[in-house]
Amino acid sequence: MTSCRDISALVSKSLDERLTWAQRLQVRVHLAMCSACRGFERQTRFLSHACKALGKRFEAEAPDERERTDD
Amino acid sequence: MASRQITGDVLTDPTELRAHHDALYRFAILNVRNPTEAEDLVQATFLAALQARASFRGGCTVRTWLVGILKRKIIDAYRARQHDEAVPEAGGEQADEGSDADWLDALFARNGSWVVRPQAWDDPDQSLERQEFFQVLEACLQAVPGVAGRVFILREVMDLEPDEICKDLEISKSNYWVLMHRARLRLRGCLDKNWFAGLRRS
Repeated sequence: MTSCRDISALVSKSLDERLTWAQRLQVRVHLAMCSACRGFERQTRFLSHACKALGKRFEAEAPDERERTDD
Repeated sequence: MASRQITGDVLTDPTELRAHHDALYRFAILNVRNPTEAEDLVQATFLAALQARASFRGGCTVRTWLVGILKRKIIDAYRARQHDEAVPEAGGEQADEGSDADWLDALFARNGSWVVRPQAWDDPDQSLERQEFFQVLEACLQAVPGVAGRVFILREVMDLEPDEICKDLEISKSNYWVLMHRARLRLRGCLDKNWFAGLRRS
């Protein structure tokens, strides 16, 4: 069976690029059995989402809330 | 609101400038991690914006336009740096890259299973509503060491395409995957420890 370390690398890669058919199957089988890697998958998706949100915040025209909370 | 025309005012009015400066500086320091260099990049961005203000067409906000210029400056700075220091391959051993590999080894047992299984995060989307979460996220992004941090921020925060990042930083695609994987594990660990663990306790 493929290790959690290898699966986490594939999960990471899958966020940027479509995996091969064999890799997708490998990931799917592993995730079905491994709650830790399922958690990692959910969390890395969230990280992606959160970083994009952070990028958008830099582009927000209005002074952000940080300035208000700092006062 | 109708898009504002860029006039000298927008970029020289102190209040306006300060509001942009804070955001641009934070964006720059996330990438270059050196206060002097970050400040230089922001100043260069304002200067370029002033010189090019005739070409501002609206359609985006002034801030978006400025961030766009800053992104270009950051990438140019990386490019210039390539000539001074070669980016080490993920497999190659340079001081921080070597210890980074050790750190990764400590996350997984010899058979490749998690040493500490990732714990669930309680309703993470809710954290996106909180200002403090983004402060922790920024700090954690800055704590991802070396090239891995650089690559990850270019991809996930600056939204560049992987091929472009590989070209700009002169790294191979396989190295890119290794670095992104490391960065994700690092960032996950940092946020777990400094944000989500606190939510679990409360």
